[in-house]
Amino acid sequence: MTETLRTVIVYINYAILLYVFFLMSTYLLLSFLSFFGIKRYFRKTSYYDRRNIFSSLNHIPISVIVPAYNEQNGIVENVKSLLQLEYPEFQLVVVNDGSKDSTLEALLKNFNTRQISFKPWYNLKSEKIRAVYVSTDYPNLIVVDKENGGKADAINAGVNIAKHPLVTVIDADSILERDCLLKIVVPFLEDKNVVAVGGTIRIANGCEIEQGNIKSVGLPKSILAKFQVVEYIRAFIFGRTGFERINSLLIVSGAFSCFVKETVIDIGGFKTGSIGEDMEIIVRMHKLLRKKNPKMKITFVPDPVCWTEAPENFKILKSQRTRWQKGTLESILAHKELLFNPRYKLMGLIGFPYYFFIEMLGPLIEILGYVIFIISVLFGWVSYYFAIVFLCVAILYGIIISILSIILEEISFTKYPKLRHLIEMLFLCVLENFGYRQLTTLWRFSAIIEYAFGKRKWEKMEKKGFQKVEEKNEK
Amino acid sequence: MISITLLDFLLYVLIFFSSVIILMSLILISLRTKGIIQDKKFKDFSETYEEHLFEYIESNEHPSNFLEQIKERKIPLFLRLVRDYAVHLRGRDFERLSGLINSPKIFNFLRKDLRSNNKKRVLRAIYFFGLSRNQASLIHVKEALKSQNDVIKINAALSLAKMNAGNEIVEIVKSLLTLKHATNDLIISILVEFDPAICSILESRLDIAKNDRVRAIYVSVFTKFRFIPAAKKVLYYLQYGTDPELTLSCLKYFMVIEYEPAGNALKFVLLKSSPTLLAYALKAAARIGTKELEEIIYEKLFVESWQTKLDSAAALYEISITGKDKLNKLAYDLDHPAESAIARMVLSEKEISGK
Repeated sequence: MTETLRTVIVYINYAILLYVFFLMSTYLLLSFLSFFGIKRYFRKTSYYDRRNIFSSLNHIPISVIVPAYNEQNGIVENVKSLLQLEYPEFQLVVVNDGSKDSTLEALLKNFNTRQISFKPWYNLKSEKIRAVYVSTDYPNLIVVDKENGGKADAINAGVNIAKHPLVTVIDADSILERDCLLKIVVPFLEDKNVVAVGGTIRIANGCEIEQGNIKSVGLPKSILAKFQVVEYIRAFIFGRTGFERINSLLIVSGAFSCFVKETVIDIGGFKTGSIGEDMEIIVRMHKLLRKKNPKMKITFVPDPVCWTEAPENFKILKSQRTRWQKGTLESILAHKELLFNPRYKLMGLIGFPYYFFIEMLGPLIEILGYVIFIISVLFGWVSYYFAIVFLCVAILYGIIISILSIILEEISFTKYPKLRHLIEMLFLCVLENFGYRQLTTLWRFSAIIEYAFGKRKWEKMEKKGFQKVEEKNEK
Repeated sequence: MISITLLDFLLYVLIFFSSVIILMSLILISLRTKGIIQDKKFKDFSETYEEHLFEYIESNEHPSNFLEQIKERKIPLFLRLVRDYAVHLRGRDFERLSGLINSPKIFNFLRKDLRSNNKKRVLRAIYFFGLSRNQASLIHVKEALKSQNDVIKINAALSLAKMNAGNEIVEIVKSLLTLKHATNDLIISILVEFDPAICSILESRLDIAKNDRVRAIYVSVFTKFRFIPAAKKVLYYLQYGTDPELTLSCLKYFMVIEYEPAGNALKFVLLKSSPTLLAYALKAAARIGTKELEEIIYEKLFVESWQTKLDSAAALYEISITGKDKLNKLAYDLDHPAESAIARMVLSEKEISGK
């Protein structure tokens, strides 16, 4: 019996070793793709002034949709900041998703709004729209008041009211760089097959914020937020740029993304009640649209365009990671027929399997790996020496990938201006492997278990708000 | 026990990975340190020469006299300083600054740069030749237009445009069209760097242009400069052009110049266009504003697409007082609930925004 168990465990060890090899190869491939992706992006964008291009009517008007739920503290400042965006023709559609606080009142009072008529039928299903207002001070500001239905529902309502051919979806509490629309629209101008574009998100904690704009970039004081800075750089610069190169991007961030409005309407809009609506819509787009147009593209802008607040305590971070993991599970399982499906080309053969085995099942395999490894070592089936060497190899590989991302950031955007930032980030690349990664894996693992047992509700993440971040910095 | 061979292999991997990490960290820090040192050098240089530079600009000092104090190895720093100011200076001040670039010391330095194998140096030379608008450098920049490197090619085109090298327009467009990532917008953004006088040359080449894509680019340049003399020719392409991109450019052109004789051609576009073209045709029709167009716009309010209904309602509101009256009447027409709702929506929005 013991012998059989031993054989099984040794084989599982080999399987995990194989998994680690697969993981490393994928990351290596991604790092090459990202390097060339970023190089290509710079080659395309470094030599011309976007403002010049858009001055000759060669722009596509954009409706910016801002779903807001209980955002009374920051909504006015954020809308003021969004109204400063540089773009020749855009409309800002703020959707009050049945807030229980005074979000709507704050908007109506501060922007001098008046109620207008709106079309009584919807292109997309959404909860009832109670009223639509337009600002007399800013004619491109529309406030939509609707009954509560969640973020996806609020976006759908925004799409119903939006009048421009492109819709950009952003989080109410995000800070956008002023030229972000000029950057995100370029892929649509370059290729008529592009249906969605994602933007790069960075951590705003530690940055100096003035009137809703990033004044100077810095690292947060909280170690948890610092780890997330490295995590975000790795995920966006290295992960998404890589997948974009093979048209296998399965997620664009809900905090800042842009879509062709007609396409969103054609596929039925954002899935209401979804935990990860940003991933779900992209997977569905691949599934439905590639049949009609094999050249259809979902792409990504590696320039940092949107800054968001990262959780600084364990409770909120856990809730965020749980939600992300459940969102991944939901989106992947709902469209599992894409797995290894050659009809979807590299997305079906590389992109989807990556998300399936690494993003979705990764935490399960990793935790299983830790348990089996510990058992193997305790029973003497694997030597301590081997265990330590193997663990070190895995950790070092993780560090290499993180440092590669930082190098890519350094040679491309260099957002963190001080040498101290760079050295600190190097240390964080090492340090995150001792506790932080394991902790997030554990949370993701427990999310999988919760999901399996039917706990699938969307939970709103608690945030401190940028004003408090500013105050903290001042102190 | 797992085979010892695997362990040995892992040990080698471990050593290799550790070395890679150390190497990468060193590369990263050295990259940043290099940047910091360069910035420091530039800061020191600026502190020393910034004031002198302003004194030179305000005086009548000969450029060669001023440049005597700049050592050969400091020229890159000097050029960086000039670059920072060039974008902000106009008129005589700018002339004085470009006088420095055109002086033999800097001109020869840039010519050496242009012949270099270093891409950054070549780009620097092209940029400054364009900035100084020195016709003597035109021939050198023209050579760079033949480069195999896309970035060099684009920058050469940009510099030639700044030099207003109208005679090279055919070569510039031809060269840009060979680029892998050249969008029409990129080419237009380069062509609008020419003086508005370029429009006459482009107009004369409109009929003999290689294809409709090139014509669409030319028409966009006319739009940017509001070049009315090309209206007749553009009208021809609006009437008989088959390429949607060209039609779109023509529509935008007429939207901007508000050319009344285009009304008849617009009528046909309004009657048989795709939704994208229709949206612009409606905007152009609203600006041109003939009675006949008003009727067609009103009819468009009753098509199936709600976006077209919305665009038509907005156009009807803008076209004339009678158009606005029609919209007001429709807003209370119970027989057409959808059109009535759209009319109310546009009326309330427009009246609040004061348009």
